[in-house]
Amino acid sequence: MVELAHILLILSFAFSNFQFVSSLFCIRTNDVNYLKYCYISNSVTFFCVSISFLILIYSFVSSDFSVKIVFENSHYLMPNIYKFFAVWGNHEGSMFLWVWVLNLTGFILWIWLERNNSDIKFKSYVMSIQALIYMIFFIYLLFLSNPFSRLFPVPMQGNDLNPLLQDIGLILHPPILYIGYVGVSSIYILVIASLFNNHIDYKLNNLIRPWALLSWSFLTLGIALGSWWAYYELGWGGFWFWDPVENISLMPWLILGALLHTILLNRKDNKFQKWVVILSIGSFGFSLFGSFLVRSGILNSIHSFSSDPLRGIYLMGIFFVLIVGGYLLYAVKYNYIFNNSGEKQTKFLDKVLILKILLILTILFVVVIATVYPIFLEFLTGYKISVGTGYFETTFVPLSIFILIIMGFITIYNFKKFIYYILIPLILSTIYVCWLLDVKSFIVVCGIAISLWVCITALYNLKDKIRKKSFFAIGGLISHFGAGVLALGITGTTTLSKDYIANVKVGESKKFDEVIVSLEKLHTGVENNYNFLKAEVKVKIKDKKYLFYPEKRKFSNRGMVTVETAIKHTLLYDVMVAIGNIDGEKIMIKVYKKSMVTWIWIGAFIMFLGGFISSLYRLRNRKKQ
Amino acid sequence: MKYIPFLVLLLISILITSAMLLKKDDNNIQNYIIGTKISEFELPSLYEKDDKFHSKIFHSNGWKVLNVFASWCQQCKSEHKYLKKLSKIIPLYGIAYNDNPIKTKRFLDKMGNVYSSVGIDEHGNNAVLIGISGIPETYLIDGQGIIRFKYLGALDDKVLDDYIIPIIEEKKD
Repeated sequence: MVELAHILLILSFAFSNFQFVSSLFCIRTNDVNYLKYCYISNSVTFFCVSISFLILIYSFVSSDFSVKIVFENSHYLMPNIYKFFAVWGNHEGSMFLWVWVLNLTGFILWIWLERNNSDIKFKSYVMSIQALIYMIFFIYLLFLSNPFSRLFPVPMQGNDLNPLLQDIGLILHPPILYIGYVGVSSIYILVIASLFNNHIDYKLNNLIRPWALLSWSFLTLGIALGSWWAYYELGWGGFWFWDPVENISLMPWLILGALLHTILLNRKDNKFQKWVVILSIGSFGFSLFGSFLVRSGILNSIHSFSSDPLRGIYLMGIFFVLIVGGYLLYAVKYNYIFNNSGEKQTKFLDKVLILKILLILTILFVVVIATVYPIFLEFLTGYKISVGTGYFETTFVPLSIFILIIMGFITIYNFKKFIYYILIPLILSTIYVCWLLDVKSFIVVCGIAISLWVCITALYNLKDKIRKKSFFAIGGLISHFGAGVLALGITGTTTLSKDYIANVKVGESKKFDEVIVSLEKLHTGVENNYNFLKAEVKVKIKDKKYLFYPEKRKFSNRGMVTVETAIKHTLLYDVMVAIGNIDGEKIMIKVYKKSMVTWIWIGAFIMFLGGFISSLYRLRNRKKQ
Repeated sequence: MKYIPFLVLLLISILITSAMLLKKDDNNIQNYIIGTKISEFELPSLYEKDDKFHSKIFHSNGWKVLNVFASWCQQCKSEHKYLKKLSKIIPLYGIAYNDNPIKTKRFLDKMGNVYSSVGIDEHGNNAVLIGISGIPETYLIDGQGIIRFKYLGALDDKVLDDYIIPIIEEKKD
């Protein structure tokens, strides 16, 4: 069965070669028939890869332990749903998913291009570059990370999946993030094809914009899902850890943000066309660089499944050919980039936009330095360091505050309108939120006000745009609103979260400034293989009462104790209760109150929605533009 | 001017490639944690019924080795024979990271228990506290609880002969 999948994969490699050759013929002869061959081979490739991927999934579901990666990452007794998704819980499988998503976006790209573009030469360049990227990744899959290796003798039982990965997060986080990562390749393909075609002008912006929006929105969702996963399931108790792998996913996200704003800057006169090209190549560069850094084993984390130096070198080679080569092409074809360097003065709003782009790029620089510097330091001096939260708090936070303030800039020259529609709602809502959250510190009030400033100005602009029926701008404004909500959540979580520890007897209660923790009941019992101590804890926060049933389990045959935390989610805060040490009659009850956490993910989801709506709208309306 | 992005990236990729190719084998040794005292922690114990696996055990009675492992970790299996070798010269203490105790037990029954005592961090909640950055991981701790050596990754003959055994022998002298 798996051999069939292997053959299909080899076949798709062959067809991508065929696509490459026929697209080269098309470039020479300008004959549409060759382009048709390209399309056929593209579809066949996609079909073969999909079937092959399905077969691999089937071998996981049917627990075929003769396949090496099934043996290493599955178990007969594992729940079926995890068997299914364990496919991408390992290096080979996740690279296969990467390639499948690459083929999927490539397939959609040509259908879309066929409908919207009539330049045969341009299309054949697109096909050839796409085929080149396909070939590179098929080679990687087939020769360096073959998911179909067999094992002899066939083991009876698999090794089980890393328990950290047995979770709903595994189902969603990788594919969605990969759509984001791989979607960037479309931007790269379109830009490089235009460079080869010796013609770059504002039309390119309309071509790449929906793809940039699509990748950006899926990256947003993927990053947010990863953060959600870490918070709820891995029990790390925070939402962002400045882990190198997290930073890596942030890099293409940031550069895409800069790219989207640069495209916006070019909407009237394309003064900044060069920037678009540089940022487009760079965004794919960061997407490759990220997978290179994670897969090469230079960084150690849950994401680096296994390290093989050869893989790292090959991925570095890909990076070198595609990105360094891309910039060389940019330099060679420099004169074909049509910059409309008219004498028109830059408008005030455009200047604000430029400032915003520069700030985003500065943040990107900060993140890149923090990720790359330890690697170089290790190389030069042999010291291993990791860049901690402190660095980011002093660099990332002030820059983000600047961006948030600028985000809200709008054109209201009417002072009265500004007061009625912006200032008064801002003050009122800030007071309301601060009252709701019981904020006392001035800095936190400022943080909340800045977040709300983003939300309110976005809403005002949204209202304005809907009235003027200019629907193109809606997506961006929704995303800005989401960013405001996200900022609100982050401000709340980082400044207002509190931990309480109470040593109490049964029936006793302890009062902290706003929280009353009382231990109501305590009972013990026996389950199949463990004794448990179950507490009924009443937590009173202001006027609201919550009941928690945290447990401590003692497994009788091994004398081993586990703690089961009880969690309640509300819109304003999450509360977690756990039983700590038991000292005679007194029992330690730990209460963690995490404020506003939910809003982080709500905000991120709104950002995703904005980008996604906008990209779909633009993908459909390409012709009308 | 137009060649700037190309040249910058060329430089960066050359640097990274050379960093990767010249990466020394022994750079897994974590310098910054060496010389610091092992942080306080308390874990349930795998075998002894009520005794906790407390960091206090490292504070007295001579040098010890702390090894972090899990039954789901492939590399842990491969380093097991080296641990066996090591257990003949120095007492070994284990922490099972993010592992179901039943599986840990089965793992040790199958491979042979080399540890004097095993602590369990079932959900991996204590990992950050202890300073675990990945598994397998091995610490060499002196009689006062000070970390003298740390190795990230599976042990092999090279690590034993070049680092761990010389340090242990030096202390005997």
